[in-house]
Amino acid sequence: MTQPDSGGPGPLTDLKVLDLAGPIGVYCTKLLADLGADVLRVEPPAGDPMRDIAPFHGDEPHPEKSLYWWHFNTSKRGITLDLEQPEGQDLFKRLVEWADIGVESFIPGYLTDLGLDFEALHALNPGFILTSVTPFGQNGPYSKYKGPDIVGQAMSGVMQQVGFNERAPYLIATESAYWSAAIFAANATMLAVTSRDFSGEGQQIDVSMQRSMSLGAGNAIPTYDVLGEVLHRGDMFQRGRGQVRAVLPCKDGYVFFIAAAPGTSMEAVQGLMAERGFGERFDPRWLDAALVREDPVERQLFEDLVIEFFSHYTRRELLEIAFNREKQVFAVPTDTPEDVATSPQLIDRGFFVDVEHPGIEEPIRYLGAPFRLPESPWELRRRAPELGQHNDEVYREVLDLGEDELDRLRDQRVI
Amino acid sequence: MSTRMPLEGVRVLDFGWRAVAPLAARMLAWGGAEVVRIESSTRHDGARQMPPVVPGGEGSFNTSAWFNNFNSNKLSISLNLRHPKGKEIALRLVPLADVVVENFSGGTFERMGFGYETLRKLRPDIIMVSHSLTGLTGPWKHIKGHGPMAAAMSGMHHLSGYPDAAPINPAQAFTDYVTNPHQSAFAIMTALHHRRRTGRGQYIDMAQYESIVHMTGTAVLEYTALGRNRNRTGNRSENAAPQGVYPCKSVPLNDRIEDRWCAISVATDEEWQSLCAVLDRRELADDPRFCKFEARKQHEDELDVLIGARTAELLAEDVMLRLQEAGVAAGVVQNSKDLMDADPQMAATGHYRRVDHAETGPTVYDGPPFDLSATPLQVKPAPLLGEHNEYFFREILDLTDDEITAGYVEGAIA
Repeated sequence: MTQPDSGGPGPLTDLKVLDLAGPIGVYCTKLLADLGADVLRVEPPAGDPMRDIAPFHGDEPHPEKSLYWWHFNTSKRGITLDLEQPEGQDLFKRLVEWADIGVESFIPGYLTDLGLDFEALHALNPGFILTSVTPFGQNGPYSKYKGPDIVGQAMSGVMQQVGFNERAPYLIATESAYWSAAIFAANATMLAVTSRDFSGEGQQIDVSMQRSMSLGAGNAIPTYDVLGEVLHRGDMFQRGRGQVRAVLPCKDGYVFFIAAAPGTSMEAVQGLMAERGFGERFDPRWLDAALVREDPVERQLFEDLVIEFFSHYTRRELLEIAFNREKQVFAVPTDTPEDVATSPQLIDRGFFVDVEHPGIEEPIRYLGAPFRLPESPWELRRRAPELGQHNDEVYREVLDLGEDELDRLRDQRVI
Repeated sequence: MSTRMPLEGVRVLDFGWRAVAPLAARMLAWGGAEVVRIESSTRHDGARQMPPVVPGGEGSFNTSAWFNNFNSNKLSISLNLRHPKGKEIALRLVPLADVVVENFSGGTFERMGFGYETLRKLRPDIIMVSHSLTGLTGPWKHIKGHGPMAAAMSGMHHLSGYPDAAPINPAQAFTDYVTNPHQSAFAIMTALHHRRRTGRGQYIDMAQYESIVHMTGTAVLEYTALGRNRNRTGNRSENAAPQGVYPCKSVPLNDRIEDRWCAISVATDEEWQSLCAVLDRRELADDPRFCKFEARKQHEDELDVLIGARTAELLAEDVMLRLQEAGVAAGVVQNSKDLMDADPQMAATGHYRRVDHAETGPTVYDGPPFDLSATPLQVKPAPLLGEHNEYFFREILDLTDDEITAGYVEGAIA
């Protein structure tokens, strides 16, 4: 948090972004901001609805205390602007002339109704890139349907494969359909930035949450295409398709265990058990992993023994004994958020960033870089903006507005 | 004149295995980069025989529909990197490359003689990415394994699933297919952007663990800011009530009866009124247990039973269409057949591409999940193993006939 504005060390310091994204696209603009782009979070004068998302610091609902807002708006500057007033639209167009990229997630057609569709913005700034992130895309019969995260997960073909046969399918945490849309929005935006480097032309990007998450459906799509077989969520767990992949209890929680799978070693499991007094319980016939994979009775006997063995150890003890050996046993803890926040690996790598908040005594620990770019590092340059925090500096510097003009716009609730 | 693709002129050497690195490279290939897989029949990527295999193609390296879908738009050369000459030929490609991706277990690629320092001497502005499980440094850097293990460590398993049962691994390796490869492809494109401005390359340390923690980040912040260790909540949300996945009428599918489900999420009191009207449960609309958000939040269990009893009488598609037309968020829990044969939205977007391939004939591949108006992306078939040996060895590296023949005879090209 050393740099006042853009000009951080990241790879994207030359890019200027107008951020109008809701929860479905906001991780995209967080990535751009933390990598150095000058991202202006553009909110309606009454405040962004994202500020209402629980939980809140101190459990006190307050527009400046939403943890969701804090998390997703790091390194951005914040301005207010009423896009529904003609004067607000004029100011927005002037910001488009300044910017390189806009990221938005309004219902398709909303910006067109305001006269702010891609064609209009392109005419003002031919290099402008407009990234639209919506549940189903800009066109097609479902394009105006509502799409919270759960609808994206359901419609993607992923959720149908998650859970047990006899129970409902369930969500993959956390908001993974929103997250999928946002990460592909970030990829598509960089493709357009790259293209603009030689063409000078911006373009319109249409990202669909449903399509984005559907790339996680894995072999379900080719399996239906070439074999006509429709995979069901029971297949992965209860029919033992291919390998042992199970969350098993241990002394203080659960361990995720993989065996009889490529890259794993039954000798390693046998060796670990032998070192710890379980040697004669391990049936040497299991060294042929195919037996465990294909015979449900043997698989159950094997898993039962592993569960009994694990019950003597904590998650951290298992991590220690399973991996500090030449042939590793794939048994990792299914950690909780607390475990992540206190992970020796993450702390040793300097992953976390402590951020000061006004009125809060202790700094608050935020996530660090999702990947390491040593020549152009990720940096959390500032905490999320307060409502209208950067109106003065942005409207003065970028649009060259004077004091009287700003006062008038405030009075008229344009900003 | 054909459109110049965004990454045209960028050459990528893909030393990847299975999903993460190959999928990162696929995004670059979709964008127009020349991506060449460097692989070998002597130690082939297991994905080349991963099910499903196109019927009649058993035993070939070129007929896994899983592999082909994940490696569209790429080229392939076959080199045995454990053979000194195979390794030498691979290293001769480095000065001609912009990006190198790999996802061997941490440290393996360096021990094979392909460390970043080695590659940088051959190509000073090379961009290289290593995808390890937990990172290239730190007390857990020795922990090796499959991508979903990093998902377990990042809190994803703990936060997913039924609140009254153990966490479970969410089936398909979602983080291998979506999260990590596309964090990585994005990172590579930002590094290319940086290189165009500064002339400098870099070595990207992509820890799958850290990348996935960015999916569970709000829960981690909830712990660091409030001291609360969040648990899984099934299909519910703090910001909607009711929200869930509700049973619908079962339907026959192939040789079984398929259970059908529809997701519903009600965010406002107005949507609640619409839900009651559509489901023909008007008597519930103004019931004091349900008419206000806070009240519905208190009675979620009862609500789920009442709604599920009604949806079970209806087809999942009817529930979705009628609710969405009334302004209530709903979506069928779709399977692969729904997505490919029935979903009019997926059809309208042209997401799935039928791609012809020399050994398998036409099969369906995923397309990119977005459309670019000025540079629409194409999807081309996956390469046969070693399909582009001639092009690379003769035209790009200018090897002589004798060198190439010797490469085959000695087992370096294999």
